[in-house]
Amino acid sequence: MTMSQDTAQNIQSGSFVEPKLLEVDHVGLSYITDNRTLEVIYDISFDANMNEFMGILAPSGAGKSSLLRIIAGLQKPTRGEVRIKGRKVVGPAKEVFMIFQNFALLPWKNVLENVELALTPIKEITPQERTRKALKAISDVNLAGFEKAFPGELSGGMKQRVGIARALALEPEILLMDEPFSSLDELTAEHLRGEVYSLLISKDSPIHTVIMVSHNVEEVVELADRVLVLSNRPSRLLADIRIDLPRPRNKKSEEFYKYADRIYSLLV
Amino acid sequence: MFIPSLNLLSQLIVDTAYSWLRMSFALILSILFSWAVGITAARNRTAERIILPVLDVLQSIPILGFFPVVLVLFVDLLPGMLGINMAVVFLIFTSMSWNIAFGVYESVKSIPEYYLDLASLERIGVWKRITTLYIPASWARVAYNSVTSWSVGLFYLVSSEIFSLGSRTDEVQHGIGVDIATFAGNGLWNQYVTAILILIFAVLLTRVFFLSQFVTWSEKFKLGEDSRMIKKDPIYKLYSWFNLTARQRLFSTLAKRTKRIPKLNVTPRAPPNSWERIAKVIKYVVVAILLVAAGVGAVSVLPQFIAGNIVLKLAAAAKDESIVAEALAFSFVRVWYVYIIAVAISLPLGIAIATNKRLFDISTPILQVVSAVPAPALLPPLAIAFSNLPFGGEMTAMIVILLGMLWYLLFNIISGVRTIPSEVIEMATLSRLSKWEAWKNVYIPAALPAFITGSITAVGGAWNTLIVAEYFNISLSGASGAPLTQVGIGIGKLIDIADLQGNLLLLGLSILSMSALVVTFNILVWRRLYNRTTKRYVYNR
Repeated sequence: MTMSQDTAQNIQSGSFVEPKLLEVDHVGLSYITDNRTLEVIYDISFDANMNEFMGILAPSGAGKSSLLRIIAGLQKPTRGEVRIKGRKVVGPAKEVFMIFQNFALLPWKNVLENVELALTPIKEITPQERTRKALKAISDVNLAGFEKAFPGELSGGMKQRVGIARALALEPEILLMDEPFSSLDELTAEHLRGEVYSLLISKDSPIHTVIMVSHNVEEVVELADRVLVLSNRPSRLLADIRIDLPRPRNKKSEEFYKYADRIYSLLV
Repeated sequence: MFIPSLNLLSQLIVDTAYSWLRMSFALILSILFSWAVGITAARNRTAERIILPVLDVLQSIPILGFFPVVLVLFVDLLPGMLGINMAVVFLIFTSMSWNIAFGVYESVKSIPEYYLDLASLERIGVWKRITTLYIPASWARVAYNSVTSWSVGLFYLVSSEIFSLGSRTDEVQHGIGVDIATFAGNGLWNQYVTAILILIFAVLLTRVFFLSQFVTWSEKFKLGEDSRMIKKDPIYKLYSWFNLTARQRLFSTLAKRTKRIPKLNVTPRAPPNSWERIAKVIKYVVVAILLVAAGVGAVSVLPQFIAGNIVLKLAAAAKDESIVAEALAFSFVRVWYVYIIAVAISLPLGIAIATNKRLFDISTPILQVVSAVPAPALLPPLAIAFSNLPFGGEMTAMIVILLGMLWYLLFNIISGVRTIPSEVIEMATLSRLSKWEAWKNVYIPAALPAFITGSITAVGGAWNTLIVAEYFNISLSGASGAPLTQVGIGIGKLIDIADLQGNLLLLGLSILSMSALVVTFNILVWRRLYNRTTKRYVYNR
């Protein structure tokens, strides 16, 4: 938080500005099918702050998953651009990794190998260090003892823990989450949500920004420091709401309801 | 520039129509057979236990090897041209029907319970049940499997038409396969190319105007779910069924057995110790030997009841069997070295096509056209081109077998890789895996189950191809009676020669030994490989 205030002051004083970690600058997306243009994202701009858990809520079809993939460099926007540390994103940047809705685990690799695979392209770390990092991440998500298990032998919640462990081991500065809880049953999701914030956002965590896309209002209010609400297709930014609630958040509190109600009214 | 005359064109069109008539007749027969067998197996426990294993074995036997026998039988039994045409139809039927029969069996078996309850409540009789429930419920699979069956049948159509030219019996009259072989045999290359083009055109026409319409029409009979079974993708549409059918082909009985026991995965099962394994192998080998012995017995001993001197005949049989074993060994090596070449081509090519959208879009129509040519149709020009080279026969055989294998492997690998969820590919991209790391860790393992099923089909098909690829006896204009192409030693050649000489003992021994080898190999190697890969290499979130 202090970091972003610093940069804000720098801008005012006109001195040298360290580029922002992530800037989404007038991004638009449209598809051309059968000579018809389908506008998905009209125009979206926002910056991400340091040590912030950001939630993006949007009606279905508003291109929230596409927005995430544009940030990840997996998809090209039709208009505008995304910048990471001032560099225009043209392909997957090394600062970014993602947690997937359906986990994206390889069934032929065990838990440890799945986590390690994402680390193999990083040439600076030795195989021993790679294993050490992977094991640490696996134990951080409470999967110690399951290193040799294969994804097929794990429950959905455990699979997503592997997905989280992989992201933790990789230590991306920007972590994207694409509906990470929506293919889990409600009880498992509830449990995992309770742990995920402190895992990802902490003082010593190398992850600076988390962006989670979701269609579940309660989930976003529970987890996010800041919520972006998008309109129907073609989408634009409707609201940028800061959630000022102490953690752990009480879903039954009046304040929680107020936030949720406000967001619901925007979405309907 | 060669412009085909109206005469030639009309001849080709009429002959293609004759060929297609044989195909259609075989398809109708196959569907009727499949309903009878499939519905019975699905609704009757005892019948199920007999029919499924029998279909299993029949599927993996190299049918083309039996053609000479079938040919003699039908020609002797039926008058005039009826005999030889029925023989061809029968052969195509045997290549089409198992696949459809399994489809009917599975769709009737998987009719939701409440439909059956409803039928019982309304007191619908057996016949009405068949016409109003079982047959409609099976249409989708019948149509879908017909697409595959048609492609497979085409291979047998051309093979059998060509083969009939070199056999002792009558030749097939009017058939696109006959035209192809005779044009090539007489060096009429312009006419030959025209015939191939007409054949490709007919295949594509059938795919677009009949098979895909049939599949679309049958969609409406689907009982819920499974709507993703038919993909928009043309390659999927045609060939994803190879996956399923090859699986059913070998493992339907086995899969059912394992399904019944839900495993908890708490304690890993102790691996079967080596003694159990050896005992199993011995069991299979004994079964195989018994099969061969039974064959020898049937062929050699039975006639002896009529004409004495069993000892002498048995000695002859044993001597023949040693010839057969040698030929089998040579053919075995031939099939496998060609298979290795086919894999070396199709695995990288298939993955490259499947992972590159532009390459996929460009290559799909090309593959559609090229794969429409049944490999045996290309045999004559290859044989002539290589005839003066050392190992010319071997090279001809290699290319014909290779072309037979390539498509099964290629289409299976492409569809296998394309089933990788997009999230996994995104994960690989975001992890910044190098090309080699992505192939090694993601694409090749993902293609493995489909690759194995493709291999089963490809190698199975190769054994059939041997009959035409190893030895091809058609007289060139003005040439002596020497065969157009032949390899040194091979079981396909042996079968052809035994047929030409009328040596029924040798013919029977060859066919049965080959079948025993193929069936044993399926049980010992493919089945295990398949089980191992599907256990781990399949996405099921």
